[in-house]
Amino acid sequence: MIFGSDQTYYDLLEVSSDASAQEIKNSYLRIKAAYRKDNLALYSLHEASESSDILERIEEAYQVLHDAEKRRDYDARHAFTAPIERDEIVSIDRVPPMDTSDESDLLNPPTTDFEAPERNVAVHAPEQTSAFATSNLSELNAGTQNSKSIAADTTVATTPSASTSDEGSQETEWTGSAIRKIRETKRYSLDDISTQTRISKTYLQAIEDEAFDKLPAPVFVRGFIIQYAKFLKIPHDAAAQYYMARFKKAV
Amino acid sequence: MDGSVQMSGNKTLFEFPTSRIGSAPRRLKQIWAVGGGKGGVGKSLLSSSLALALSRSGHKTLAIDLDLGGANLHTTLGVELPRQTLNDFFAERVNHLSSCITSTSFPNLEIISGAQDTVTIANLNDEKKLRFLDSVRDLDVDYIIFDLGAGTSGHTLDFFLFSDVNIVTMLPEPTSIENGYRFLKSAYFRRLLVNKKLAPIHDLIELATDSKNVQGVRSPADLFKLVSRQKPEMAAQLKAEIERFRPKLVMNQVRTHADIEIGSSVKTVCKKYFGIDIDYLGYLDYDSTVWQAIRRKRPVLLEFPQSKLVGNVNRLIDQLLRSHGEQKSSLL
Repeated sequence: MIFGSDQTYYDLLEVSSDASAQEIKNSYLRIKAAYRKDNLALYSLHEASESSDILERIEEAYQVLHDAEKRRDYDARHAFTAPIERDEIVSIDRVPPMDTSDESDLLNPPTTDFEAPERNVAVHAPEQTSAFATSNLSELNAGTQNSKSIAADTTVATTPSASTSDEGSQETEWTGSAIRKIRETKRYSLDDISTQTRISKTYLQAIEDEAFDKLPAPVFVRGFIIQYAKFLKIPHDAAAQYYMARFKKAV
Repeated sequence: MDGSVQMSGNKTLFEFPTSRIGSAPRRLKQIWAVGGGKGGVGKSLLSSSLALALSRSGHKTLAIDLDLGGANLHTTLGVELPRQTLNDFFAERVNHLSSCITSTSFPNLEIISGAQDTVTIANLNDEKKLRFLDSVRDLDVDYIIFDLGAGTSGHTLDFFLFSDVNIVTMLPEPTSIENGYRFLKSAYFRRLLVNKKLAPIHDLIELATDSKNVQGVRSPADLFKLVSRQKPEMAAQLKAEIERFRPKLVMNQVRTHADIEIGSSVKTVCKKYFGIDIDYLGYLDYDSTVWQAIRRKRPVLLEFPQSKLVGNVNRLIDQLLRSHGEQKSSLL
Protein backbone atom coordinates (compact mmCIF):
# COMPACT_ATOMS: atom_id res chain seq x y z
CA MET A 1 0.00 0.00 0.00
CA ILE A 2 2.89 2.25 0.66
CA PHE A 3 3.48 3.32 -2.91
CA GLY A 4 -0.21 4.03 -3.27
CA SER A 5 -1.72 4.70 -6.65
CA ASP A 6 1.54 3.66 -8.23
CA GLN A 7 0.66 0.06 -7.63
CA THR A 8 -0.74 -2.33 -10.16
CA TYR A 9 -2.90 -5.32 -9.33
CA TYR A 10 0.22 -7.42 -9.71
CA ASP A 11 2.02 -5.29 -7.12
CA LEU A 12 -0.92 -5.62 -4.78
CA LEU A 13 -0.88 -9.37 -5.04
CA GLU A 14 2.93 -9.40 -4.92
CA VAL A 15 3.35 -11.45 -8.05
CA SER A 16 5.06 -10.76 -11.36
CA SER A 17 2.97 -9.90 -14.40
CA ASP A 18 3.61 -13.31 -15.92
CA ALA A 19 2.58 -15.23 -12.81
CA SER A 20 0.48 -18.33 -13.35
CA ALA A 21 -3.11 -18.56 -12.15
CA GLN A 22 -1.94 -20.83 -9.34
CA GLU A 23 0.75 -18.42 -8.20
CA ILE A 24 -1.78 -15.62 -8.14
CA LYS A 25 -4.17 -17.70 -6.10
CA ASN A 26 -1.52 -18.77 -3.60
CA SER A 27 -0.32 -15.26 -3.11
CA TYR A 28 -3.88 -14.00 -2.69
CA LEU A 29 -4.60 -16.57 -0.01
CA ARG A 30 -1.35 -15.79 1.78
CA ILE A 31 -2.07 -12.06 1.91
CA LYS A 32 -5.65 -12.64 2.93
CA ALA A 33 -4.46 -14.83 5.77
CA ALA A 34 -1.98 -12.16 6.89
CA TYR A 35 -4.74 -9.55 7.13
CA ARG A 36 -7.17 -11.83 8.87
CA LYS A 37 -8.61 -10.11 11.87
CA ASP A 38 -6.69 -10.80 15.07
CA ASN A 39 -3.61 -11.99 13.28
CA LEU A 40 -0.75 -11.36 15.65
CA ALA A 41 1.38 -10.09 12.80
CA LEU A 42 -0.83 -7.01 12.48
CA TYR A 43 -0.44 -6.06 16.08
CA SER A 44 0.54 -2.44 16.66
CA LEU A 45 1.21 -1.73 13.00
CA HIS A 46 -2.15 -1.65 11.30
CA GLU A 47 -5.43 -0.29 12.49
CA ALA A 48 -8.55 -2.30 11.74
CA SER A 49 -9.76 0.20 9.14
CA GLU A 50 -6.46 -0.02 7.27
CA SER A 51 -6.58 -3.79 7.24
CA SER A 52 -10.06 -3.87 5.80
CA ASP A 53 -9.03 -1.32 3.20
CA ILE A 54 -6.12 -3.49 2.17
CA LEU A 55 -8.33 -6.58 2.04
CA GLU A 56 -10.75 -4.73 -0.19
CA ARG A 57 -8.05 -3.78 -2.65
CA ILE A 58 -6.61 -7.27 -2.62
CA GLU A 59 -10.06 -8.62 -3.37
CA GLU A 60 -10.51 -6.19 -6.24
CA ALA A 61 -7.15 -7.16 -7.72
CA TYR A 62 -7.89 -10.85 -7.37
CA GLN A 63 -11.32 -10.56 -8.99
CA VAL A 64 -9.63 -9.23 -12.10
CA LEU A 65 -6.47 -11.30 -12.20
CA HIS A 66 -7.98 -14.70 -11.53
CA ASP A 67 -10.43 -14.27 -14.41
CA ALA A 68 -8.48 -15.02 -17.58
CA GLU A 69 -10.52 -12.68 -19.73
CA LYS A 70 -10.52 -9.76 -17.33
CA ARG A 71 -6.83 -10.25 -16.80
CA ARG A 72 -6.19 -10.05 -20.55
CA ASP A 73 -8.15 -6.82 -20.72
CA TYR A 74 -6.28 -5.42 -17.77
CA ASP A 75 -2.93 -6.40 -19.26
CA ALA A 76 -3.79 -4.77 -22.53
CA ARG A 77 -4.74 -1.54 -20.83
CA HIS A 78 -1.60 -1.48 -18.72
CA ALA A 79 0.95 -2.52 -21.29
CA PHE A 80 1.66 -5.87 -19.74
CA THR A 81 2.34 -8.41 -22.39
CA ALA A 82 0.58 -11.64 -21.63
CA PRO A 83 2.78 -14.69 -22.03
CA ILE A 84 2.93 -15.23 -25.78
CA GLU A 85 4.65 -17.60 -28.11
CA ARG A 86 8.24 -16.88 -29.01
CA ASP A 87 7.72 -16.66 -32.76
CA GLU A 88 4.96 -14.17 -32.35
CA ILE A 89 7.35 -11.78 -30.72
CA VAL A 90 9.56 -11.60 -33.72
CA SER A 91 7.25 -9.38 -35.68
CA ILE A 92 7.27 -6.67 -33.09
CA ASP A 93 11.01 -6.47 -33.32
CA ARG A 94 10.90 -6.09 -37.04
CA VAL A 95 11.84 -2.85 -38.57
CA PRO A 96 8.57 -1.33 -39.68
CA PRO A 97 8.12 -0.98 -43.41
CA MET A 98 9.02 2.39 -44.79
CA ASP A 99 6.23 4.79 -45.42
CA THR A 100 6.00 4.95 -49.19
CA SER A 101 3.03 7.26 -49.39
CA ASP A 102 5.42 10.14 -49.61
CA GLU A 103 8.15 9.66 -52.18
CA SER A 104 10.68 11.63 -50.22
CA ASP A 105 10.44 9.21 -47.33
CA LEU A 106 12.10 6.55 -49.41
CA LEU A 107 15.32 8.36 -48.92
CA ASN A 108 15.02 8.23 -45.16
CA PRO A 109 15.79 5.27 -42.98
CA PRO A 110 12.94 3.78 -41.02
CA THR A 111 12.23 5.26 -37.64
CA THR A 112 13.66 2.41 -35.64
CA ASP A 113 17.07 3.26 -36.98
CA PHE A 114 19.13 4.89 -34.26
CA GLU A 115 20.36 7.50 -36.65
CA ALA A 116 16.94 8.41 -37.97
CA PRO A 117 16.70 12.12 -38.62
CA GLU A 118 14.37 13.89 -36.30
CA ARG A 119 12.09 15.15 -39.00
CA ASN A 120 10.79 11.64 -39.40
CA VAL A 121 9.17 11.91 -36.01
CA ALA A 122 7.27 15.02 -35.28
CA VAL A 123 8.61 15.30 -31.79
CA HIS A 124 8.57 19.06 -31.48
CA ALA A 125 4.81 19.12 -31.78
CA PRO A 126 3.39 16.38 -29.59
CA GLU A 127 -0.18 16.86 -30.85
CA GLN A 128 0.94 15.81 -34.31
CA THR A 129 2.90 12.80 -33.25
CA SER A 130 0.15 10.29 -33.00
CA ALA A 131 -0.92 10.85 -36.57
CA PHE A 132 2.45 9.65 -37.67
CA ALA A 133 2.62 6.87 -35.16
CA THR A 134 -0.78 5.58 -36.07
CA SER A 135 -0.17 5.43 -39.77
CA ASN A 136 3.18 3.88 -39.18
CA LEU A 137 1.88 1.26 -36.81
CA SER A 138 -1.21 0.41 -38.72
CA GLU A 139 1.04 -0.35 -41.63
CA LEU A 140 3.16 -2.45 -39.44
CA ASN A 141 0.12 -4.33 -38.30
CA ALA A 142 -1.25 -4.73 -41.80
CA GLY A 143 2.06 -5.82 -43.15
CA THR A 144 2.86 -8.41 -40.54
CA GLN A 145 -0.29 -10.40 -39.97
CA ASN A 146 -0.51 -8.93 -36.55
CA SER A 147 -1.29 -11.18 -33.70
CA LYS A 148 -3.74 -10.28 -31.03
CA SER A 149 -1.04 -9.60 -28.53
CA ILE A 150 0.66 -7.07 -30.70
CA ALA A 151 -2.58 -5.28 -31.34
CA ALA A 152 -3.14 -5.17 -27.64
CA ASP A 153 0.34 -3.92 -27.08
CA THR A 154 0.24 -1.14 -29.56
CA THR A 155 -3.18 0.23 -28.79
CA VAL A 156 -1.89 1.36 -25.48
CA ALA A 157 0.32 4.05 -26.77
CA THR A 158 -1.06 4.92 -30.15
CA THR A 159 -4.62 5.92 -29.72
CA PRO A 160 -4.88 8.76 -32.17
CA SER A 161 -5.38 11.75 -29.99
CA ALA A 162 -6.24 13.91 -32.96
CA SER A 163 -9.25 11.90 -33.97
CA THR A 164 -10.91 11.55 -30.62
CA SER A 165 -11.57 13.81 -27.73
CA ASP A 166 -11.93 11.18 -25.06
CA GLU A 167 -9.46 13.08 -22.89
CA GLY A 168 -6.68 10.92 -24.31
CA SER A 169 -7.18 8.43 -21.55
CA GLN A 170 -5.41 5.68 -23.45
CA GLU A 171 -2.38 7.76 -24.28
CA THR A 172 0.53 6.28 -22.37
CA GLU A 173 3.05 8.74 -21.14
CA TRP A 174 6.39 7.06 -21.55
CA THR A 175 8.23 8.99 -18.92
CA GLY A 176 11.33 7.63 -17.25
CA SER A 177 9.35 6.58 -14.25
CA ALA A 178 6.67 4.89 -16.40
CA ILE A 179 9.41 2.83 -18.02
CA ARG A 180 10.87 2.04 -14.63
CA LYS A 181 7.48 0.93 -13.42
CA ILE A 182 7.09 -1.52 -16.24
CA ARG A 183 10.58 -2.82 -15.68
CA GLU A 184 9.87 -3.33 -12.00
CA THR A 185 6.57 -4.99 -12.67
CA LYS A 186 8.36 -7.40 -14.94
CA ARG A 187 10.91 -7.95 -12.15
CA TYR A 188 14.01 -6.94 -14.05
CA SER A 189 16.89 -5.21 -12.34
CA LEU A 190 18.88 -2.55 -14.14
CA ASP A 191 21.71 -5.05 -14.26
CA ASP A 192 19.50 -7.50 -16.17
CA ILE A 193 18.60 -4.84 -18.68
CA SER A 194 22.18 -3.70 -18.99
CA THR A 195 23.42 -7.22 -19.67
CA GLN A 196 20.75 -7.86 -22.25
CA THR A 197 20.82 -4.55 -24.10
CA ARG A 198 24.47 -3.69 -23.52
CA ILE A 199 23.45 -0.21 -22.49
CA SER A 200 25.48 0.95 -19.52
CA LYS A 201 23.67 0.92 -16.22
CA THR A 202 24.50 4.57 -15.66
CA TYR A 203 22.59 5.52 -18.78
CA LEU A 204 19.69 3.25 -17.94
CA GLN A 205 19.51 4.85 -14.54
CA ALA A 206 19.67 8.32 -16.07
CA ILE A 207 16.91 7.41 -18.53
CA GLU A 208 14.63 6.29 -15.75
CA ASP A 209 15.49 9.25 -13.55
CA GLU A 210 15.21 11.58 -16.52
CA ALA A 211 18.59 12.92 -15.51
CA PHE A 212 18.94 14.39 -18.96
CA ASP A 213 22.24 16.07 -18.29
CA LYS A 214 23.83 12.67 -17.74
CA LEU A 215 22.71 11.36 -21.10
CA PRO A 216 24.67 11.53 -24.34
CA ALA A 217 23.53 13.11 -27.62
CA PRO A 218 19.88 12.61 -28.61
CA VAL A 219 20.58 10.13 -31.37
CA PHE A 220 22.14 7.77 -28.86
CA VAL A 221 19.42 8.25 -26.32
CA ARG A 222 16.84 7.48 -28.94
CA GLY A 223 18.63 4.25 -29.72
CA PHE A 224 18.79 3.37 -26.04
CA ILE A 225 15.08 3.95 -25.58
CA ILE A 226 14.23 1.78 -28.53
CA GLN A 227 16.49 -1.02 -27.34
CA TYR A 228 15.18 -0.77 -23.84
CA ALA A 229 11.54 -0.58 -24.94
CA LYS A 230 11.95 -3.60 -27.18
CA PHE A 231 13.38 -5.55 -24.33
CA LEU A 232 10.43 -4.63 -22.15
CA LYS A 233 8.09 -5.38 -25.06
CA ILE A 234 6.45 -2.00 -24.94
CA PRO A 235 5.67 -0.09 -28.15
CA HIS A 236 9.14 1.19 -28.84
CA ASP A 237 8.33 3.81 -31.46
CA ALA A 238 5.74 5.46 -29.31
CA ALA A 239 7.99 5.27 -26.28
CA ALA A 240 10.94 6.78 -28.15
CA GLN A 241 8.80 9.55 -29.59
CA TYR A 242 7.33 10.48 -26.30
CA TYR A 243 10.56 10.27 -24.41
CA MET A 244 12.62 12.15 -26.97
CA ALA A 245 10.08 14.95 -27.05
CA ARG A 246 10.55 15.33 -23.32
CA PHE A 247 14.28 14.99 -23.56
CA LYS A 248 14.62 17.72 -26.17
CA LYS A 249 12.28 20.01 -24.38
CA ALA A 250 14.43 19.74 -21.27
CA VAL A 251 17.84 20.01 -22.89
CA MET B 1 2.70 1.64 18.17
CA ASP B 2 2.96 5.35 18.66
CA GLY B 3 5.20 5.64 15.63
CA SER B 4 7.85 7.64 17.37
CA VAL B 5 11.41 6.86 16.61
CA GLN B 6 13.96 7.59 19.20
CA MET B 7 17.05 9.03 17.71
CA SER B 8 20.17 9.39 19.70
CA GLY B 9 20.14 12.65 21.55
CA ASN B 10 22.50 14.52 19.31
CA LYS B 11 20.98 16.25 16.34
CA THR B 12 23.66 15.56 13.80
CA LEU B 13 23.33 12.11 12.36
CA PHE B 14 26.18 9.80 12.48
CA GLU B 15 27.82 8.89 9.20
CA PHE B 16 29.05 5.41 8.48
CA PRO B 17 32.70 5.11 7.66
CA THR B 18 33.11 4.78 3.93
CA SER B 19 35.28 2.18 2.34
CA ARG B 20 38.89 3.08 1.93
CA ILE B 21 40.07 2.55 -1.57
CA GLY B 22 43.54 1.24 -2.10
CA SER B 23 44.11 -0.23 1.33
CA ALA B 24 45.28 -3.77 1.78
CA PRO B 25 42.75 -6.50 1.02
CA ARG B 26 40.89 -7.56 4.11
CA ARG B 27 40.06 -11.00 5.27
CA LEU B 28 36.63 -10.16 6.61
CA LYS B 29 33.81 -11.42 4.42
CA GLN B 30 30.71 -10.23 6.19
CA ILE B 31 29.17 -8.83 9.31
CA TRP B 32 25.87 -10.29 10.45
CA ALA B 33 23.83 -8.44 13.06
CA VAL B 34 21.13 -9.92 15.25
CA GLY B 35 18.64 -7.46 16.72
CA GLY B 36 14.98 -7.39 17.57
CA GLY B 37 13.94 -4.64 19.90
CA LYS B 38 12.76 -6.64 22.82
CA GLY B 39 14.85 -8.35 25.47
CA GLY B 40 14.57 -12.09 25.83
CA VAL B 41 13.67 -12.88 22.25
CA GLY B 42 16.75 -14.98 21.70
CA LYS B 43 19.23 -12.52 20.24
CA SER B 44 22.16 -13.86 22.23
CA LEU B 45 21.11 -17.46 21.74
CA LEU B 46 20.79 -16.96 17.99
CA SER B 47 24.05 -14.97 17.80
CA SER B 48 26.04 -17.55 19.68
CA SER B 49 24.46 -20.42 17.77
CA LEU B 50 25.14 -18.77 14.41
CA ALA B 51 28.70 -18.00 15.45
CA LEU B 52 29.31 -21.51 16.70
CA ALA B 53 27.80 -23.11 13.60
CA LEU B 54 29.87 -20.86 11.32
CA SER B 55 33.05 -21.68 13.19
CA ARG B 56 32.28 -25.38 13.04
CA SER B 57 31.93 -25.20 9.27
CA GLY B 58 35.51 -23.94 9.12
CA HIS B 59 35.07 -20.17 9.05
CA LYS B 60 37.06 -18.11 11.47
CA THR B 61 34.32 -16.34 13.37
CA LEU B 62 34.18 -13.55 15.90
CA ALA B 63 31.09 -12.81 17.96
CA ILE B 64 30.92 -9.29 19.36
CA ASP B 65 28.60 -8.54 22.23
CA LEU B 66 27.14 -5.11 21.57
CA ASP B 67 24.57 -5.32 24.29
CA LEU B 68 26.45 -2.53 25.98
CA GLY B 69 25.64 -2.56 29.63
CA GLY B 70 23.90 -5.91 29.56
CA ALA B 71 26.50 -8.13 28.02
CA ASN B 72 26.26 -11.87 28.48
CA LEU B 73 27.17 -13.42 25.18
CA HIS B 74 30.26 -14.84 26.85
CA THR B 75 28.04 -16.78 29.24
CA THR B 76 26.02 -18.41 26.46
CA LEU B 77 29.32 -19.63 25.03
CA GLY B 78 30.65 -20.80 28.35
CA VAL B 79 33.45 -18.27 28.53
CA GLU B 80 34.45 -16.85 31.92
CA LEU B 81 34.10 -13.10 32.21
CA PRO B 82 36.91 -11.92 29.93
CA ARG B 83 39.64 -9.66 31.22
CA GLN B 84 39.52 -7.27 28.29
CA THR B 85 36.19 -6.00 27.07
CA LEU B 86 34.88 -3.42 24.65
CA ASN B 87 35.00 -0.99 27.51
CA ASP B 88 38.79 -1.04 27.38
CA PHE B 89 38.64 -0.17 23.71
CA PHE B 90 36.17 2.65 24.19
CA ALA B 91 38.11 3.98 27.18
CA GLU B 92 41.24 3.79 25.03
CA ARG B 93 43.03 1.57 27.50
CA VAL B 94 44.03 -0.65 24.58
CA ASN B 95 45.29 0.50 21.20
CA HIS B 96 43.73 -2.10 19.02
CA LEU B 97 40.34 -3.72 19.02
CA SER B 98 42.13 -7.02 18.47
CA SER B 99 43.51 -6.74 22.03
CA CYS B 100 39.97 -7.22 23.32
CA ILE B 101 39.54 -10.57 21.62
CA THR B 102 39.05 -13.52 23.95
CA SER B 103 39.46 -17.04 22.72
CA THR B 104 36.90 -19.70 23.49
CA SER B 105 37.28 -23.41 23.95
CA PHE B 106 35.97 -23.92 20.41
CA PRO B 107 38.27 -23.90 17.41
CA ASN B 108 37.79 -20.96 15.00
CA LEU B 109 35.58 -19.09 17.44
CA GLU B 110 36.53 -15.96 19.34
CA ILE B 111 34.51 -13.33 21.11
CA ILE B 112 34.75 -9.72 22.16
CA SER B 113 32.74 -9.24 25.27
CA GLY B 114 30.49 -6.29 25.87
CA ALA B 115 31.45 -3.73 28.40
CA GLN B 116 30.69 -4.38 32.02
CA ASP B 117 30.90 -0.82 33.17
CA THR B 118 27.48 0.50 32.23
CA VAL B 119 28.03 4.11 33.16
CA THR B 120 30.61 5.05 30.60
CA ILE B 121 29.17 2.95 27.84
CA ALA B 122 25.74 4.45 27.89
CA ASN B 123 27.49 7.63 26.83
CA LEU B 124 29.21 6.14 23.83
CA ASN B 125 29.70 8.94 21.33
CA ASP B 126 29.76 8.96 17.57
CA GLU B 127 33.48 9.41 17.36
CA LYS B 128 34.12 6.28 19.39
CA LYS B 129 31.51 4.39 17.48
CA LEU B 130 33.14 5.36 14.22
CA ARG B 131 36.52 4.26 15.50
CA PHE B 132 35.02 0.95 16.53
CA LEU B 133 33.31 0.29 13.20
CA ASP B 134 36.44 1.27 11.35
CA SER B 135 38.57 -1.12 13.41
CA VAL B 136 36.11 -3.97 13.08
CA ARG B 137 36.77 -4.23 9.40
CA ASP B 138 40.46 -4.85 9.87
CA LEU B 139 40.11 -7.84 12.17
CA ASP B 140 41.62 -11.05 10.93
CA VAL B 141 38.45 -13.17 10.73
CA ASP B 142 36.00 -14.38 8.08
CA TYR B 143 32.71 -13.56 9.76
CA ILE B 144 31.67 -11.22 12.52
CA ILE B 145 28.40 -11.58 14.39
CA PHE B 146 27.02 -8.53 16.21
CA ASP B 147 24.83 -9.48 19.14
CA LEU B 148 22.79 -6.32 19.67
CA GLY B 149 21.13 -5.09 22.81
CA ALA B 150 17.43 -4.54 23.30
CA GLY B 151 15.80 -1.24 22.49
CA THR B 152 16.04 1.21 19.64
CA SER B 153 18.87 3.48 20.72
CA GLY B 154 20.73 5.23 17.97
CA HIS B 155 23.85 3.18 18.64
CA THR B 156 22.05 -0.13 18.39
CA LEU B 157 20.37 0.94 15.15
CA ASP B 158 23.69 2.06 13.69
CA PHE B 159 25.39 -1.23 14.52
CA PHE B 160 22.45 -3.01 12.92
CA LEU B 161 22.46 -0.89 9.77
CA PHE B 162 26.24 -1.06 9.42
CA SER B 163 26.10 -4.84 8.98
CA ASP B 164 25.78 -6.76 5.75
CA VAL B 165 23.08 -9.09 6.96
CA ASN B 166 20.40 -7.59 9.22
CA ILE B 167 18.61 -10.26 11.22
CA VAL B 168 15.60 -9.51 13.40
CA THR B 169 14.29 -12.08 15.85
CA MET B 170 10.73 -12.12 17.09
CA LEU B 171 8.63 -14.41 19.20
CA PRO B 172 5.02 -15.18 18.35
CA GLU B 173 3.87 -12.92 21.17
CA PRO B 174 2.23 -9.48 20.97
CA THR B 175 4.92 -7.79 23.06
CA SER B 176 7.69 -9.11 20.90
CA ILE B 177 5.85 -8.33 17.65
CA GLU B 178 5.21 -4.80 18.83
CA ASN B 179 8.82 -4.17 19.79
CA GLY B 180 10.04 -5.93 16.69
CA TYR B 181 8.03 -3.59 14.50
CA ARG B 182 9.21 -0.61 16.51
CA PHE B 183 12.77 -1.70 15.99
CA LEU B 184 12.24 -2.20 12.25
CA LYS B 185 10.51 1.13 11.91
CA SER B 186 13.29 2.94 13.75
CA ALA B 187 15.96 1.26 11.65
CA TYR B 188 13.97 1.95 8.49
CA PHE B 189 13.72 5.67 9.08
CA ARG B 190 17.26 5.99 10.36
CA ARG B 191 18.50 4.27 7.25
CA LEU B 192 16.66 6.77 5.07
CA LEU B 193 17.86 9.69 7.20
CA VAL B 194 21.55 8.89 6.87
CA ASN B 195 21.24 8.28 3.14
CA LYS B 196 22.98 11.12 1.33
CA LYS B 197 21.04 10.53 -1.85
CA LEU B 198 17.90 11.41 0.03
CA ALA B 199 19.32 14.64 1.44
CA PRO B 200 16.80 16.81 -0.49
CA ILE B 201 13.94 15.20 1.43
CA HIS B 202 15.75 14.89 4.72
CA ASP B 203 13.33 17.29 6.40
CA LEU B 204 10.32 15.27 5.23
CA ILE B 205 11.80 12.01 6.49
CA GLU B 206 12.59 13.63 9.80
CA LEU B 207 9.00 14.78 9.98
CA ALA B 208 7.82 11.20 9.60
CA THR B 209 9.89 10.15 12.59
CA ASP B 210 7.96 12.54 14.80
CA SER B 211 4.68 10.86 15.61
CA LYS B 212 2.99 14.09 16.60
CA ASN B 213 3.82 16.02 13.44
CA VAL B 214 1.17 18.41 12.25
CA GLN B 215 1.19 17.26 8.64
CA GLY B 216 -0.31 13.99 9.80
CA VAL B 217 2.49 11.86 8.44
CA ARG B 218 1.95 8.64 10.38
CA SER B 219 3.33 5.87 8.21
CA PRO B 220 5.80 5.22 5.41
CA ALA B 221 2.85 5.45 3.01
CA ASP B 222 2.12 8.97 4.25
CA LEU B 223 5.75 9.89 3.80
CA PHE B 224 5.78 8.58 0.26
CA LYS B 225 2.61 10.52 -0.53
CA LEU B 226 4.07 13.69 0.94
CA VAL B 227 7.29 13.33 -1.05
CA SER B 228 5.35 12.59 -4.24
CA ARG B 229 3.44 15.80 -3.71
CA GLN B 230 6.19 18.12 -2.54
CA LYS B 231 9.27 16.74 -4.27
CA PRO B 232 7.92 14.48 -7.00
CA GLU B 233 11.35 14.20 -8.60
CA MET B 234 12.56 12.42 -5.45
CA ALA B 235 9.77 9.84 -5.24
CA ALA B 236 11.45 7.25 -7.45
CA GLN B 237 14.71 7.63 -5.55
CA LEU B 238 12.94 7.22 -2.23
CA LYS B 239 11.21 4.09 -3.46
CA ALA B 240 14.50 2.65 -4.69
CA GLU B 241 16.25 3.34 -1.39
CA ILE B 242 13.37 1.87 0.59
CA GLU B 243 13.45 -1.29 -1.47
CA ARG B 244 17.16 -1.67 -0.92
CA PHE B 245 16.52 -2.43 2.75
CA ARG B 246 16.25 -6.21 3.01
CA PRO B 247 16.20 -7.29 6.66
CA LYS B 248 15.89 -10.96 7.57
CA LEU B 249 13.44 -12.43 10.01
CA VAL B 250 13.81 -15.38 12.34
CA MET B 251 10.83 -16.49 14.44
CA ASN B 252 12.00 -17.92 17.70
CA GLN B 253 10.26 -20.26 20.14
CA VAL B 254 7.63 -21.50 17.72
CA ARG B 255 5.36 -24.17 19.12
CA THR B 256 2.80 -24.71 16.38
CA HIS B 257 2.48 -24.46 12.66
CA ALA B 258 0.42 -21.30 13.12
CA ASP B 259 3.40 -19.76 14.94
CA ILE B 260 5.58 -20.43 11.92
CA GLU B 261 3.04 -18.78 9.68
CA ILE B 262 3.10 -15.61 11.74
CA GLY B 263 6.52 -15.09 10.21
CA SER B 264 5.04 -15.21 6.69
CA SER B 265 2.36 -12.80 7.75
CA VAL B 266 4.96 -10.41 9.17
CA LYS B 267 6.70 -10.52 5.82
CA THR B 268 3.47 -9.72 3.97
CA VAL B 269 2.48 -6.98 6.35
CA CYS B 270 5.93 -5.36 6.13
CA LYS B 271 5.71 -5.39 2.36
CA LYS B 272 2.46 -3.51 2.46
CA TYR B 273 3.32 -1.21 5.33
CA PHE B 274 7.00 -0.40 4.76
CA GLY B 275 7.37 -1.37 1.11
CA ILE B 276 10.28 -3.65 1.98
CA ASP B 277 10.93 -7.28 1.18
CA ILE B 278 11.75 -9.10 4.36
CA ASP B 279 13.53 -12.35 3.90
CA TYR B 280 11.86 -14.84 6.24
CA LEU B 281 14.85 -17.00 6.98
CA GLY B 282 13.09 -19.51 9.16
CA TYR B 283 12.25 -20.35 12.72
CA LEU B 284 13.65 -21.94 15.84
CA ASP B 285 11.50 -24.48 17.60
CA TYR B 286 10.58 -23.85 21.18
CA ASP B 287 12.99 -26.01 23.02
CA SER B 288 12.94 -26.64 26.72
CA THR B 289 16.56 -27.75 26.62
CA VAL B 290 17.69 -24.17 26.13
CA TRP B 291 17.30 -23.17 29.75
CA GLN B 292 19.06 -26.29 30.88
CA ALA B 293 22.00 -25.48 28.65
CA ILE B 294 22.06 -21.91 29.90
CA ARG B 295 22.16 -23.06 33.51
CA ARG B 296 25.10 -25.20 32.69
CA LYS B 297 26.68 -22.24 30.88
CA ARG B 298 27.14 -24.37 27.82
CA PRO B 299 26.14 -23.66 24.19
CA VAL B 300 22.87 -25.47 23.60
CA LEU B 301 24.13 -26.64 20.22
CA LEU B 302 26.80 -28.70 21.93
CA GLU B 303 25.00 -29.63 25.08
CA PHE B 304 22.02 -31.12 23.25
CA PRO B 305 23.20 -32.00 19.77
CA GLN B 306 20.06 -34.06 19.20
CA SER B 307 17.67 -31.18 19.81
CA LYS B 308 15.57 -29.80 16.98
CA LEU B 309 17.25 -26.47 17.53
CA VAL B 310 20.48 -27.74 16.05
CA GLY B 311 18.72 -28.66 12.83
CA ASN B 312 16.98 -25.28 12.80
CA VAL B 313 20.21 -23.35 13.22
CA ASN B 314 22.03 -25.38 10.60
CA ARG B 315 19.23 -24.72 8.15
CA LEU B 316 19.47 -20.97 8.79
CA ILE B 317 23.22 -21.02 8.29
CA ASP B 318 22.95 -22.98 5.06
CA GLN B 319 20.44 -20.54 3.72
CA LEU B 320 22.42 -17.48 4.71
CA LEU B 321 25.64 -18.84 3.27
CA ARG B 322 23.89 -19.82 0.09
CA SER B 323 22.31 -16.42 -0.45
CA HIS B 324 25.08 -14.19 0.86
CA GLY B 325 27.95 -16.20 2.10
CA GLU B 326 30.81 -15.81 -0.26
CA GLN B 327 30.07 -12.31 -1.43
CA LYS B 328 32.50 -9.78 -0.13
CA SER B 329 31.01 -7.29 2.22
CA SER B 330 29.88 -4.08 0.57
CA LEU B 331 31.62 -2.19 3.35
CA LEU B 332 35.10 -3.27 2.49
